[in-house]
Amino acid sequence: EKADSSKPIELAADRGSLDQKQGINILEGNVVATQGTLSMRADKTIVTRDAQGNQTLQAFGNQAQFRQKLDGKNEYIEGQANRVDYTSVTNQVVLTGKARVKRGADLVTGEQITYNTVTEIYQVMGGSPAASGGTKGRVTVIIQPKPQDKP
Amino acid sequence: ETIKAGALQVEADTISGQMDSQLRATGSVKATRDNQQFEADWLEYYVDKQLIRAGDRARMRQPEGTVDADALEAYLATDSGSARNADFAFGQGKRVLRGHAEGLAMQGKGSYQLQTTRANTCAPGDDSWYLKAGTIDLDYGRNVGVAKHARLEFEGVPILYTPWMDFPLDGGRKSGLLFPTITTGSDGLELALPYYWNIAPNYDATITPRYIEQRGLMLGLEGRYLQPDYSGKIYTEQLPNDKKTDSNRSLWALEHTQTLNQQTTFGLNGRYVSDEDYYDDFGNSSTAATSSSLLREAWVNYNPGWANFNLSASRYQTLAGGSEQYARVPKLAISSNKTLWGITANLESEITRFEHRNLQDGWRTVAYPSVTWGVDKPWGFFQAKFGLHHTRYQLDAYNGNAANTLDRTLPITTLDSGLTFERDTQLQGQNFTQTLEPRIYFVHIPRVDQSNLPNFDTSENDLSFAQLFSENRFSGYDRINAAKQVTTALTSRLLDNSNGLERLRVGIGQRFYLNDDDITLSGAESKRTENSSDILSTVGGDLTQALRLDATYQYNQSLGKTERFSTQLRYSPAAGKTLSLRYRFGRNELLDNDGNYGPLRTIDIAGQWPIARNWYAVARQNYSLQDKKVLQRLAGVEYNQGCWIVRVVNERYLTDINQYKNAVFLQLELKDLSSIGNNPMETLRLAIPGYSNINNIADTE
Amino acid sequence: CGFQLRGLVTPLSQSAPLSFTTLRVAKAGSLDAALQTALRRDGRIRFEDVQGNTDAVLNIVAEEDRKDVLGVSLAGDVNEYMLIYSVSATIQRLQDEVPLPLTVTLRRTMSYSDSVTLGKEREEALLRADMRKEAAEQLVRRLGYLPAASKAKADAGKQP
Repeated sequence: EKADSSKPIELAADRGSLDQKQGINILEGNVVATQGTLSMRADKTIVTRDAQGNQTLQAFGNQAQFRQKLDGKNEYIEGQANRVDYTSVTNQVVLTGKARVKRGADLVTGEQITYNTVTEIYQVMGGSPAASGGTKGRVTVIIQPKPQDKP
Repeated sequence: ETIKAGALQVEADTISGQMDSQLRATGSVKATRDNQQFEADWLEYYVDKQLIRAGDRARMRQPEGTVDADALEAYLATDSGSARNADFAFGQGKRVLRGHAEGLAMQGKGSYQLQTTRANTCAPGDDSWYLKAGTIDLDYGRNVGVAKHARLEFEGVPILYTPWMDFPLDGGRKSGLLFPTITTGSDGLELALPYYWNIAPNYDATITPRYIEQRGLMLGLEGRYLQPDYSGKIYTEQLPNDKKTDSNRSLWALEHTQTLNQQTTFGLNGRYVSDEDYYDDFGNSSTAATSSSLLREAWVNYNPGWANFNLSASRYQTLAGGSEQYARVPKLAISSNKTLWGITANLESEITRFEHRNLQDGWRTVAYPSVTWGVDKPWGFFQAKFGLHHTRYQLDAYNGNAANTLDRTLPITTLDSGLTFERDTQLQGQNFTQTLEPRIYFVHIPRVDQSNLPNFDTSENDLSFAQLFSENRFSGYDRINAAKQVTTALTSRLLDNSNGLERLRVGIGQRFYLNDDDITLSGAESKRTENSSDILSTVGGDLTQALRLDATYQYNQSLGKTERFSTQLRYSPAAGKTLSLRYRFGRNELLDNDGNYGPLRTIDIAGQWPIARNWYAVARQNYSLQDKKVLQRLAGVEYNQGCWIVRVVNERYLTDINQYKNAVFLQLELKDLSSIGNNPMETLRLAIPGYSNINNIADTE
Repeated sequence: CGFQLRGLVTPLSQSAPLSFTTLRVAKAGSLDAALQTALRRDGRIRFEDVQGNTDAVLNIVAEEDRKDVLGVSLAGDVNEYMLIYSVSATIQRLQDEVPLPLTVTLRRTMSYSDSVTLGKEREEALLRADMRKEAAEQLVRRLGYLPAASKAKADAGKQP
């Protein structure tokens, strides 16, 4: 929901190490970051804080997970990829590496998906041929039929 | 992922969009929704309007066909949309409608409109002909296409314009355009442009304007109607002013049958022409031959179950070369039978008023009650019949004789019995059942003089197996032959054990007279000169899959000569390949309409055979060996280019003694678009046994 | 020479059993009387004409009478006709998913002259009745050669 980005990010993990000087916090093992209805699960997450205190999370995993409730609906948007970067102040999520975003019944897949959790605008790139096994990477979007137009 | 019905799947190099609102895909985009596929350089989708926009050059593939176009817009929910500069290929399998359209509109499931379009049904790249039209509406639900302001160009030459025309999309229905037939003949150039209009599923009309150079413009109109309880056909040809005869020439034909209720049916049928030479001038080889007397009749049939009542009135119009026929106004036929304890009582009866302009008029009442008793078994049957044939004539005054009443009553006894023997046998490695069916038929009818009775509707039948086993060799009721005779026959059949089909049949039969009482056609009593009839033999069957033989041989024992012999050998190995030879010999045959008898020998050779790749020759020669004269001749070629067929056929046939009619007809048939007027096809089907339309023969190597 | 009377020594129902026991003829058209005689003569089929539940229904789908010109006189008038009668029927058995088609086409020739039109009308009726008798015999005989139980199989041998 829109209100999420104003909330603090709570982090939990098996183990973590803090580098106060550069404001980098590295957590590993069942890392769970939650901010309001937004939650990210990963094997390893790097949390950095810039001068103004805005936090960005870099989550890695054999498919890091991303989940957030939609505004005003009890539907969720769920994403997963090899790496998920979330910048809270710009509500920008970038999923890279076999990325998948599922919103309600609709599904977006590709090599890299950038998604704004507030405006719900997204871009999907196929990625360079090298990254996706030689052929030009393909992306797909599946839009399920709306209830009213059930065939 | 399970893709639910109605889901849209878009695949591309890159996609950007807003969830639940819209998306834009670029880079060899492929989008599929159920059985619709889109391919384009870029594609946009608007979720709320369920609208797809694709360009610059988009391809849309639907069950009905494929469209490549610019500026494609498709509303998925309503199957509507539009496109510009579209190349399309609609239809499946061999039936494809291909072409280009400035504009294309999709108007719901399976229906499209092509605007300013050019289309044909040929293979890609084959532009030998095409239909240019303002609009073509394609409705794959009803499988019909409608072209408006349509012009047909063949090899670049515009040859036809029609404001409106429909055609079948699946070939199921007749097309709107029955292709023009051009004929040159004794009346100069003739151009017939039949035009089929499918008014409704059960009404259709064929309008045929026919220009005849030396006579003028004739209009032919055929209306057909088919309803659950009545159906029929009305046909008329009108030539208001025949330049050659300076008169009005017209033809009317009607066929109508109707079911009034469960037991009652009613019908009208008849032909009427303005003058007696009508068919010689306007008919074709078969109608010219069969139109010496034109029947007009109305009938009502009532069958309550225990009997059948048929009331009818019929009259003939006599044309050139025909003889005036009795009118039967009216005729009531009643027949019934009832079976009680194995005995069947039958009644055959008829009350008829005969009228003729210059022959004896009168009423004839026939009552022929009979009882039959029989046994039916798989190995044989027996049937005994005893009847009393009573006929009463109430004749009007005629030729100076006063009106009078005449009666004839004859007891008729018949005994019919037959056995069926069977054995299994093998032939060319196939199992057959061979039957042997002897049959004996005894008839006894005493002789009575009938020379004072008029002859309203009686003639002598040809000797056939059907006639051998009937009581009376005269058809009609005015003459009943005297009989004390035994007919014997032996039939053997070869039945294919895999499906029971009769592969070959051989039969021989003869009748033996036990006394020499006889009646001639004039009704006078006479003495027979021989004690047995001609021997009748017949053979018929498929010698091989492609070779069929039918032959009948009738031997006249008393003269020791062949009375009648006819044989037909037909070899039809494949579609488009058939050869037929028919030889007919008659020692003393009924030769013509004037009732003359005499020798007859004719040979009728006909064939359709490929002569080159996609070229077929059709030919027929019906030649009288006896009179050394060609009776009917036909020769022509057919060329199947794959997408169109052209036929050029010359036909020469007799319309009177030494009077031939010569006609060359040219006929163009466009594959799947125009079905052929039945005139040329009917002529070829009649002339050449086994003739097949070459439009559905695959391209021959 | 191997010939035996059909069905006399061993009844047909044993020597050549049919693939059904009761038959109803639906819509017999002009073949009604001829079919009844042929069925009675065959004897293997209990002929039901009520709406009872029979395990086979013979339906005469279409009949066509045609008259083609075969020979013409020196004046071009027809002097010989080829009379053609074709009937297409279907037999629907319980064990078949779809009715099996049966077609019979028969031909007779008849001389003709306009001088005896009315008489030839009667002779044509005689020949057509004879063709119906033979068509009924062929249809009933072929009921004995139906495949045991099968999906719809096109009728193997269409009459030429």
